[in-house]
Amino acid sequence: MAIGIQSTQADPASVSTGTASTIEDVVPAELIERAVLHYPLEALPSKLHGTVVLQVHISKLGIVEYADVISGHDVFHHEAIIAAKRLHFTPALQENSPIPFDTTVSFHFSPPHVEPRDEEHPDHSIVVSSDSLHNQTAHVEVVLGEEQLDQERQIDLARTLEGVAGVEFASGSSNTSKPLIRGQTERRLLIVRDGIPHASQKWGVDHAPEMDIFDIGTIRVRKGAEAVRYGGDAIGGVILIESPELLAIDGVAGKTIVGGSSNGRKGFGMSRFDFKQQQWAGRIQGNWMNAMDVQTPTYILGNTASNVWNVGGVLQHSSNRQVLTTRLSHHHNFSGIFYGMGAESPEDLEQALTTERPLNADEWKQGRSIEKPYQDVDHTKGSVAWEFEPSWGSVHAQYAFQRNDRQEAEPSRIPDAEPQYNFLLRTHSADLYIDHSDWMLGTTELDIEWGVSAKFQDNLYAGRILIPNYRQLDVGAFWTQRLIFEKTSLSMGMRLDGSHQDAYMKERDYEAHERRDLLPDECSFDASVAKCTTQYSGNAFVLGGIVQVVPEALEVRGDISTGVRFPNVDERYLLGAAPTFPVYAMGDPNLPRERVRSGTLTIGYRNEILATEVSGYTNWIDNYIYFAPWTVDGSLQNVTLINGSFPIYKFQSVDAHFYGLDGMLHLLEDSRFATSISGATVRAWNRDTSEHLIGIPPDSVRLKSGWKGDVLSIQPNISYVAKQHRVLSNLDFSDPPEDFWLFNIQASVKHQFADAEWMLNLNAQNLFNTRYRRYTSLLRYYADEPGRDVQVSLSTHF
Amino acid sequence: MLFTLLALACSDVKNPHDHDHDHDHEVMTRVVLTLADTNGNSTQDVTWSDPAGDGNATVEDIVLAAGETYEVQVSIWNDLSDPAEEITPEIIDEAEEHQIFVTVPDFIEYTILDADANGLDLGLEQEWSALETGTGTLTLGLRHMPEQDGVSVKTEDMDLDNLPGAWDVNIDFPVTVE
Repeated sequence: MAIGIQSTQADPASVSTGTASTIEDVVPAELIERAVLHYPLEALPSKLHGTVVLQVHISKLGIVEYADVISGHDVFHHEAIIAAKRLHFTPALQENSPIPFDTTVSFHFSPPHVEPRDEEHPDHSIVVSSDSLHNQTAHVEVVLGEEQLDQERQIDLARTLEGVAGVEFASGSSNTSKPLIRGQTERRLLIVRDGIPHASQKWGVDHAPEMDIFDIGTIRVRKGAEAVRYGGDAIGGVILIESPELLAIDGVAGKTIVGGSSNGRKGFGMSRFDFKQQQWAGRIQGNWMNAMDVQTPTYILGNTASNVWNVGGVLQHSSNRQVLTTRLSHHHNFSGIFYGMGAESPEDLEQALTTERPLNADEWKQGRSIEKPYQDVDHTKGSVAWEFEPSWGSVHAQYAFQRNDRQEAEPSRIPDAEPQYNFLLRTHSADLYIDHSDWMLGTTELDIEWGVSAKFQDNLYAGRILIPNYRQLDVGAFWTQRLIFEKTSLSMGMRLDGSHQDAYMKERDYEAHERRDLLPDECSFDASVAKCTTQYSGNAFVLGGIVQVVPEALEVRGDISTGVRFPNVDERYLLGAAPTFPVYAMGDPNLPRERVRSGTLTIGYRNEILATEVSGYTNWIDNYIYFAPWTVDGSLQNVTLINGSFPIYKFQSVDAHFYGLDGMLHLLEDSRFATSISGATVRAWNRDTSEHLIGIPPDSVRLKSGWKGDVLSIQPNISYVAKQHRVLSNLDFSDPPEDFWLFNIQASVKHQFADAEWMLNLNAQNLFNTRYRRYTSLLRYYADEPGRDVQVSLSTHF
Repeated sequence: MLFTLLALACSDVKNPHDHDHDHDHEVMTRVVLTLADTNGNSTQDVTWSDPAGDGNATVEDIVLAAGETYEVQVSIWNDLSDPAEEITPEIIDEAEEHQIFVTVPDFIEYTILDADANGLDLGLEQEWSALETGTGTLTLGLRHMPEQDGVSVKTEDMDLDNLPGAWDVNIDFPVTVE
């Protein structure tokens, strides 16, 4: 439980007279050190009270060696066992000699008097508390809860995370975007949903992660390399998404949201139905969102309408410390791609760049129809997870299948022509991890977690020459351990990974690669199909620690780590005119592995008036894979195709250095009138040439202040994004856009009516209808960002 | 069950034949200019060709005789289709969304002979007059201007320096008038 929700009970409600091997003349063990008892998250919706009675075995040293539940509600078992093992007793004595001793203890659980911190004020990511020593990571972790998501939910995951310091987004068209953490793009960020790494076509500018943003209970953003736990795809950070908890007590419950917004006249609705009956619990849920073309302050962005829907279900069976959970979900997103981004050649782009207002902007009418160009995406996911919680920890095993079906269509002469680009990615993944929690070595707690994972993936591509079909098998194993002392924790871990990639090309595509010397050595032909095989292996290490310099007030966290990311097949074999940008794209089959060496240092301080957390980091990435213009002897390389002369952009590896600072400051966070400031800065260099890397987010700062009442909450916020001056002008099509200010406001009203809680939310973005362009957005080459958007929604739990 | 799923998943990755661009009817790889002098003395084909569509193009020279006038037919082909497929009929069918533009050296004049249903230039048929000797470059472009929100963007008053749509073809031919 990285987020500590502490029960009002901090010690056993009772410790009974125990038993020893010989009762006579025994001085019983006496409790001398209390434990923090956490109220389990999953019991929160029901606000359940309960008592758990345990039998504990106390060693000659007074340490609880094991604890078994005698009675009590299942939902409290795990936390009760953890708390029991943290109790410390005087040794039982017989004839003045210590002896083993058995006794019973009971804990009473009652829900916190206030809403849990992450639910009520999720911005409170500053973890300076006794519980933070149990954090699984020494990195900064920001948690967004469901209530905040209801208030701030945007059209996709990346924009919803925008308020987190150090998190930016890169958008393609106006309605798709992907997150950036500390300047690291999606290739180095892993999104893990309910324990399953999300598998999608990450590489395209317009390929946003396919996420159901309505079915989210918490989002945890871990900023920093998480390669040891999650593998090479997480060397830039990880976004952990959990669905809302299922019901913990028998009954039914649900949630409904309806709403709309002004820009694009978006309408949306979601409904969730939960049930629990004895050992079975489950959920069905669905949502739908439909938007017309989006508007900038001065014109409509033609063909940016979108239609998104999700359905899903969960079924869970719990019995005697075992939980079996099956999940099934489907995401559908059919979105237009802005007409103005139809530049298919550098000349067209140059035209777009020289006009302040897109050509034909006056002709575009706001509507819900979606024309070519468009993208039509379906993502289906099914999983089975088994959890077992013996007294010594927990065992998790899961299997998941994901099918990502993406079609992209460009304008065509034949009205009903098939989309020109068709991608089908199928991923099977299996994970097993085991957590040995809370072993006590004297007064020191030892947590050990280890696991193995495997992922099998194949990608079928149909369309104009671009990427080959491929098949890939990744395997990994990790080990982490954490020693928790009184005021300090120390963690270390390591990981081993291997990958086997087979790429398949038909003869003509093979020859096209061969002409440009873009093939590895390991290729063979079979029935006119070339198969190119590559194998990688790598390892990762981490050493981290947390020191509570002043408990509950001043805390220092830091880690150093290494990790490896293997090149993706598209980075190695991409060849062809990119569908969303007027460049000719080329991979490099001989790209080496990326190796990151990183260090972070975070200082957190809290008192009655303020709470602050500042984090500094440095990432040295050797062989950083980078999509950039290809130059030979300083000369930009071009290729002449039938529709014009295109600059060649090629995946290249350079040695890079990223470093920066981000952090936040909360003032009077526990009062009704609170203020918070967050900001981030990142620098990125090509170490080979001592030049800046392009595409790095500019500096930004955000101020949020307002009233937070039990019923009414009004919180205006202002964000400032600086102009990115650290660019190479000869490697971009246009200069970076100017800096900009955005004024936003959030407000909510809660009301209890008919045994249900109702919440009315208002979320107004870009209140003053400011014209601006965002450096990390592809749209900046063609048009302004969307203008004012006022979103109103009504949600209720029943 | 896992192994069954794995087997199903593997079934067609190895066969990219069924999943490539053979059936894309809109790819263009070859442009042929058929030039016939108006005296009926000679006909020549001049070809720009990139058969694999990957920038490995071969370009033939246009050679004209000074003082001659030529009728020019433009035809466009997809060589990635087997057999090669002519795209020109599709362009004629969608003439209201297409137009061929040429940029010629000052020793050549040209006239567009054909038009779409709205009476706007199409450009698949042209007439060129070789005024005097010279050497230069002739640029030929096919602009695809699909409707946007149901409105035709190919109009009489289009700004030629800022055309709607995108280039399907934008190629250069070396040209000599002898």
